[in-house]
Amino acid sequence: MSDFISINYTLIIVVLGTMILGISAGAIGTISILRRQALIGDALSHATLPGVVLAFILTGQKDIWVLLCGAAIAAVVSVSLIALIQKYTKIKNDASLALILSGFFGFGQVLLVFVQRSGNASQAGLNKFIFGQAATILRADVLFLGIVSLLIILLMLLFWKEIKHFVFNKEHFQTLGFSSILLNTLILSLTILVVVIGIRSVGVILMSALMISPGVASRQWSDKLSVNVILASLFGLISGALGAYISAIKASLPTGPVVVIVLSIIVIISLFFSPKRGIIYQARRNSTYKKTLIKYKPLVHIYSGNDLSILTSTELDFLVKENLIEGKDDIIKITTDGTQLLKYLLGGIL
Amino acid sequence: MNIEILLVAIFTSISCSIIGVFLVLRKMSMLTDAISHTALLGIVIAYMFIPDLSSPFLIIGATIMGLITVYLVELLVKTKRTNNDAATGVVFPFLFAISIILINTLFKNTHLDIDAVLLGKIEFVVFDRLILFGMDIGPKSLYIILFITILLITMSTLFYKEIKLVIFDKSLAVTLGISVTFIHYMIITGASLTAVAAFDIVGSILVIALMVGPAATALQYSKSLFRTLLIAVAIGIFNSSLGYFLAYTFNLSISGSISTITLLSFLVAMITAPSKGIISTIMRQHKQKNDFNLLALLFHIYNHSYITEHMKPIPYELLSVELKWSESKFTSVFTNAVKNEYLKNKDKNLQLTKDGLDFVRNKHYKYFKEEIE
Amino acid sequence: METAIHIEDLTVAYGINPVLWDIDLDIPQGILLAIVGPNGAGKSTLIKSAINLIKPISGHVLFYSHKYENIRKQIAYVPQRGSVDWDFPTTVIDVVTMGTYGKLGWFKRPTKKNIKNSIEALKKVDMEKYANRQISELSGGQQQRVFLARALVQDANIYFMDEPFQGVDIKTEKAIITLLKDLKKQNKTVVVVHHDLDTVEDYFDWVTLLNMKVIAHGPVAEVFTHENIKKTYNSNALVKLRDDSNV
Ligand SMILES: Nc1ncnc2c1ncn2[C@@H]1O[C@H](COP(=O)(O)OP(=O)(O)OP(=O)(O)O)[C@@H](O)[C@H]1O
Ligand SMILES: [Mg+2]
Repeated sequence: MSDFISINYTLIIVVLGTMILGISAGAIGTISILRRQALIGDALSHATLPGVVLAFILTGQKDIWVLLCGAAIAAVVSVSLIALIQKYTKIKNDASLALILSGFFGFGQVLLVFVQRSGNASQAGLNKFIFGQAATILRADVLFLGIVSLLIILLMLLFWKEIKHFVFNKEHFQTLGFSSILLNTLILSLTILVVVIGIRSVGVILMSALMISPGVASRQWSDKLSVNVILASLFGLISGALGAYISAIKASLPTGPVVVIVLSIIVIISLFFSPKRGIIYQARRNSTYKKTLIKYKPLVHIYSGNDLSILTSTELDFLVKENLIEGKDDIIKITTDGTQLLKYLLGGIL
Repeated sequence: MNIEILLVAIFTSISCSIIGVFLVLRKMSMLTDAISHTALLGIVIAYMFIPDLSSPFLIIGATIMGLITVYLVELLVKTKRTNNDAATGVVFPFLFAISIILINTLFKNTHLDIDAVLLGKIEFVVFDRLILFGMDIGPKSLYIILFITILLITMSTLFYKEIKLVIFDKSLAVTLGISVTFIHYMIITGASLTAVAAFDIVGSILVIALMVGPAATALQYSKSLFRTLLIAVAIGIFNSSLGYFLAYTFNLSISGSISTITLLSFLVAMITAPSKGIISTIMRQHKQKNDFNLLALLFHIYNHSYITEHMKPIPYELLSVELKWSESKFTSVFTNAVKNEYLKNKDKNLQLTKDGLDFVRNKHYKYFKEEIE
Repeated sequence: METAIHIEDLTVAYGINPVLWDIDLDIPQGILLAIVGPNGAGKSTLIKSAINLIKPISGHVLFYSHKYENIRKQIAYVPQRGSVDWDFPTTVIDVVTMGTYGKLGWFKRPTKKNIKNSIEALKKVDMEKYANRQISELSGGQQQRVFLARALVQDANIYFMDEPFQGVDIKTEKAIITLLKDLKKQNKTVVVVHHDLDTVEDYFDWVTLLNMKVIAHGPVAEVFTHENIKKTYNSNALVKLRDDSNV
């Protein structure tokens, strides 16, 4: 109990840092998913490695700013290459992401050997740079994360209308005289920013999870983009905080993976249990519909004006008993209940 | 140079290239990323039952986990709740995270080294020998990857046309009675097995390069699936040999060097490939533009003198006015036409030559699919 | 006339959205049938559920009194465009030869004779000079012709085609219809989803007017009446229900 205070302090810092990251990653990640570029975060976070190492080789400094700049430059180069591949080849988007991800990462490995050979003992630290260690988040980092996240959120708010329009319909957006290149650059820059500030704290795997899972989960709860983004940020925040907290009180659990697990649980809950879009709700709705449909098919026959002779008297009696039709002087009339049921059967609306 | 390492690298490349072509065409490139990470969970779970790192059951466990990964991703996609890449991005961090937590809590002191998983250990494959009847017959990895290579070649030979059909046109495959599910999971099993064997050698991230790189590069050159496969294998062999050679000469990370070369060779192909490369695309566009301008000019003369004016030549000034082009554009296209002898210029009166007439007829047909007299 | 296709009591829904209602159809052998109806009427769905690509809620479809699985090789299907990856590395002749894969069965390779048949089929659609082109280098109409050629080499008895005239110039359209009439002469049954009401009478001898349910079905001369067409394009079961909520 003697170092309770210090644990608590580290805990607060780590929880705060992961939380803040969760907010901005969730927000920008939602946009990426809707643009069908969900895995761009994964690709970019791997692709930063050579930038980090090169920055170190060239400057000989392990200063955080220098390394971050290196990471950012590598990310920009890789995004440009991906764009180039998209423009000039028929290679599908996922293949170009995979190529850049692995090629850049491999190049980073090659560069790391140089560092190692130059006898510089801090090589291990460089490697950690992209595999991340949330437990090493410091107070200064939290401040930095906070400022950058704030910047990201402000930019998103500022360009909200444009982003929304752009994501929804790029071509139409362009025809209104807006620059699609500008917006593309903006969104990619924000993505790069999040990735670059995030990987060092939480590592590559968590980084891609933080950018994808909150967006997937939030999508299940609402069709509105603004609600989506806010919910995603909230999910990012919750899982960041909860994950960091759990791993801090149980030392054997590393932060990154725990956050991922919390995120995945949120996704699973959202997928299954969300109202309207939830898998359980929909499965039940569909099977109820199917059963009702088969049961009351004779009613549809009557409604469609089909030849009534194919209906048996049991079927007709059944419909009368259920108060769906009434017979008057040999003319069959559908009751209000019957119309109601037909609306459900034919319209898919209850 | 160590010939054994080179052989391991080459055969890893061959097997990755073959399966990679199918995966890239099936738009499952990023799934290689997923499989090569989640395989770790398979290994960890298998290790819980058989605590022996050299047991072949670990490979089986990892392969099954690869299949489970794909199955889960597809399950997510099938619910129509997410698209494919988002589903991938949800599933694989989850499974990978579980494996890291298991390693951290249960096997803290064993040799399940996460760094080795991510980065591979091709440098050390030669130390793990296969001893048969007391005889050392080479590194174990070589035999594993050789076995997988043969398996993949057999698979793609036997099921070539089915694989092609399922990837290219699923609905035709279904109507022809070919089991899409069977072929699909056969490809996935092949991919999973290859990824597992390969990541042990080159690491989980570089497996992606070996699978996607040669395939994407070969697609720049080829217009048939069979040739794509051959070219991909050739490129894979080239990449790994050159990569290893450079790594050996300059004492670099072998897998890092191979994947760097893989990316570079793709970029070179993207720029220089005949017909599909950037250079030839730009040149083609340029030529097309020239052609088009030339056609516009000659067609104007054709219309003027053949249709309206009964073979009468058109005065130079009239033409330049009627075309409404900028001075410089007109001069350059005009000079081009005269140089090619499509035009006769008699005292500034212009007339088409026979070549010029042919040019108009051919190109007009080519661009407008319409015959003219 | 023998019945080639017998559809009974077919009802299909996507989730809780009904698309086809109680479809009962008997399609005789050796006719050229147009399925006509507005967008979203369920035309594609009808074809897809006939060949088991979609599972219906109720009902069944028989071909010469056989279930689809048992007679699959005699049925060819040309989907509405855009269901394949046009960047796939494959040539025109290769795509056409794929039509023979069903009859070849597992493991066997296409023979020289198969390839020859494919070239024959390409000739019929006037595309033999493009045999070695990559399919991505073809125009939309040319791609459609290639798919038609592929259906021809399948050498089926029943053909389903989903809007073969979509995005095709008039010359190609005429060429395709000549081919379809040839098939009919060989006593094959051809079912075509068609959009252009003006040409139904010229091209087809039977017609099915469809909008969620069958509005009319029979020889063109008998059922392709102004009244039926109006009913097909105006009547939407749901709209009608809302208009006079007490039937
Ligand atoms: N996979 C699907 N999931 C959900 N709804 C679908 C699906 N496919 C089609 N539908 C819906 O079913 C209805 C019928 O679709 P279908 O494609 O059969 O129409 P169609 O008559 O072929 O129309 P078109 O002339 O546009 O091709 C449409 O309202 C469509 O929105
Ligand atoms: Mg349709």
